[in-house]
Amino acid sequence: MESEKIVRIRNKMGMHVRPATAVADTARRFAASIQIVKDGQPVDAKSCIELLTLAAVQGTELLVRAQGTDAPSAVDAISKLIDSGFGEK
Amino acid sequence: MELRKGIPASPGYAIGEAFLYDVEEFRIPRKFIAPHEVEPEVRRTQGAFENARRDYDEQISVLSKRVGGAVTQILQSHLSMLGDPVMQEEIFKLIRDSRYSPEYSVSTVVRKKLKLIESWGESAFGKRVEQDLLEVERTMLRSLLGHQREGLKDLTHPVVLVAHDLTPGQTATFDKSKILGIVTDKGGKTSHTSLVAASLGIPAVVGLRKITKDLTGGDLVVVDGGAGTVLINPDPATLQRYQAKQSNVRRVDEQLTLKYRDMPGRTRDGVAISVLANIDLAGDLPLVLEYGADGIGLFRTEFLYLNHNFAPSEKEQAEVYRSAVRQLGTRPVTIRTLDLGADKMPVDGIPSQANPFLGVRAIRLCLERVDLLQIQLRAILQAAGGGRVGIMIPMISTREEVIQVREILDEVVRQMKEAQEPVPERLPLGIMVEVPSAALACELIAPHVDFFSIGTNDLVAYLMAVDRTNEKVAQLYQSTNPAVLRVIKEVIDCGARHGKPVSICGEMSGEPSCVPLLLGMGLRIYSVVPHVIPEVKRVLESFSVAEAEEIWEKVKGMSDSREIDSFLRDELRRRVPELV
Repeated sequence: MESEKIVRIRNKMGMHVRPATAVADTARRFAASIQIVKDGQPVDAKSCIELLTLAAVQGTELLVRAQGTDAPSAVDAISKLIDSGFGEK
Repeated sequence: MELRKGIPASPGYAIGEAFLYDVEEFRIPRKFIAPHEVEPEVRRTQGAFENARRDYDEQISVLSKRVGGAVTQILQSHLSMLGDPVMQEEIFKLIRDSRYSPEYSVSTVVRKKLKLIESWGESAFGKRVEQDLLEVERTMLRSLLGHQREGLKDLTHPVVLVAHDLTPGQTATFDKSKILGIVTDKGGKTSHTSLVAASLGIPAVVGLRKITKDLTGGDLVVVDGGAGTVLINPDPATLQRYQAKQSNVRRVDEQLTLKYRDMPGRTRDGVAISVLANIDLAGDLPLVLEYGADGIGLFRTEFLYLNHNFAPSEKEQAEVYRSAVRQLGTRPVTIRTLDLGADKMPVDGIPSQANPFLGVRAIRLCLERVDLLQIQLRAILQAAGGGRVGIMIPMISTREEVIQVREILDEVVRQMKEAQEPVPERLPLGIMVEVPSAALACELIAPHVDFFSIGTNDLVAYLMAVDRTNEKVAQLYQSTNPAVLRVIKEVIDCGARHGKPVSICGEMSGEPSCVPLLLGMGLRIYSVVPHVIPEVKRVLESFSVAEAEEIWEKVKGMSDSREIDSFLRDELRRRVPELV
C-alpha cells in the first residue's frame, strides 16, 4: 500500500533537534518504509539525523510518503505531528 | 609533588583521591579486521549500542526524578540519534564491506555527518546538532571500548572530581556528599561548573587546561579553591599543612552555621541587615534554609533552559518557581529572568557573535525573542500567589529597555486577567545593575523600577574592561578599585534617594573583608551563595554602622586597590581574625 501527503513546517524554529527526534520516534513505530521529501530530495523519516540534514525552516513544504501495510496511518501520524508545529509556536 | 594553577571557582580546601570523569580522549586508529571477524564484530557493535541505550534509559529516569518529572529533552534526542537506523546501517556497512573496525566505522560515519553540517555554514542550529552528534559518538565509542559510563551517582566513597568540563546533565546527577572538590580543564569564573560548585559549597578550581592529562585516577590531590591551585601527590609535610588548614576551616564553618542559622543578620549596634541567598538550581533550595538565609536574592533560571533544550514550557517553569515560593513561605524570592547569551543558546535569526559578552544576551536576547520573556513572566506570575516574589531583569543598559520590559509585563498581566487566570497584585520589578551605563544613569532609571541589585561580577568586568578568566589581565579585575567603589556608592545612594532597595548579588558582597566596607557605603541587603551566609552574619555582627562608615571614609581617600585590600584585611583581622 502507498500513501502520501504534502505538509508545511509551521513552527518558528523549524525542524530542529527536538522535532526531528519526535518525527523519527513516531516513524519508527510503523512497519512501513517512510520518506520525507524536500525539493525532490528524500530522506528516511526514521532517521532523525537525516531529517536534520533537510534543514527545514518555517514555511518549508515537505512531502510525506510511505510504502507498506500501515502506510496510510504512518503518513497520517507524521503529517499531523508536523502540521501541529510539533506543539511549538 | 606537582603544582598546577588555574582559576579559583569556589573557595575551600579539598583533599582526596582523584576520580577522572568522562575524559576518555578517543584516538581511533584506522584499523581493519579479518574476514572471519566481521560477523562477530557486527554482533559486538549491536551489543554495545544496546548497552548504551540502556545507560541512557537509566540516566533519563534518574534525571527526570531529580528535576521533578520534567522532560529530559537533550538526553531523549541523544537516545533517538543512537538508535538512528540509517546511521547504524552505514556503520554496519563499513564493518562488512570495508572491514573497518567498529570503532573506526563509528568515527568515520560521524565525521561524515559533521562535514555535512559544517557545509551549512556557521549557525547556532548547526552547532547544537554538532554537539549532540559528538556526544552520541562518545557514548557509542565508550560502550564499544568497554568503558561503562561511570555515573557520578554511583560513587562509593568521597573523591575529588577531575573532568574536562561538566555539563548540566552531569551536575544534575551529582551526589554532593561524595564530591570533595572539583577540578576541570575548561571553564571560567562564571561557567556552569563554577556556579554549581560555588552554590553547593564544593571547593573548585577550573580552567586548568590539561589537568585531566596531568594526573591519573587515584592520585592524591589537594584543591585550594580560594587560591586556585591544585597539588598532585603532595609531600607529607605539605599534606599535613593543608589538613590543618582544612580542619580549621571546617571547625569554624560548623560553629558559625549552628550559631547563625536562626539569627537574623544585624550589626554590632543592632541595625537589621538582610542576608539573602543566590541559587542556581531548584536542588539548592534546601541550602537556603540550612544556612539560614532571609530569602532568595537571586534565583538564576538558566538551568531550566539548559535542561529543557532551551525551551522550558510555562508549566515546567511555573512548577519550579512554585516549589521555591512554597518553601520560602513569607521570605522574599527574587527570580531573575533568562541570563544566557546567544552564544550559549541557539536562537533562530541571531547569527554567532564575535564577542558574546558585548552582544545579544540576557534581556537583549529576550527583547529579540519576546515570546521567551512572555512565557517566563507568565510562569512567574502563575507561581507568585501567596509568596513574596520579585522579578529581576539582567543586563539592562538603558532606561528604554526597562520601560519596554514594564510594558511587556503589563500586557502579560492584562492577558492573564482577561483569561480570568489568578494574577497577584503588582509584583516588584527590579534590575541587575551590571552594565556601566545603567549604573551611571541609575538616577534616570530609578523611577521605573522597584529595586536595584548590583551584579558586581559583570559590573567590574565591564568597568575595568577585563575578562577575568584571562590570566594575562586577571590582576586588573579589581572589585575594590576606586572607580568601581565610586560607581557602587552612586547606585546605593541613588536607591536611598528614591526609596528603592539596593542589594549586591555579586561575589563581592560575600567576601568577608568587603562586608564592612559595603555596610559603611550604605548597603543593607547582601545576596550571597548560601554557605557563606553564616560568615557574612558573623562579620556584620562585629561592626557597628558608625565603625563601618569610618572604614569607607578612610577607603575613599585611598588611590589603589592593593592598598584598599590590605587595609580591609587588617580591619577584618582586628575584629574577626578567624575569617582572614
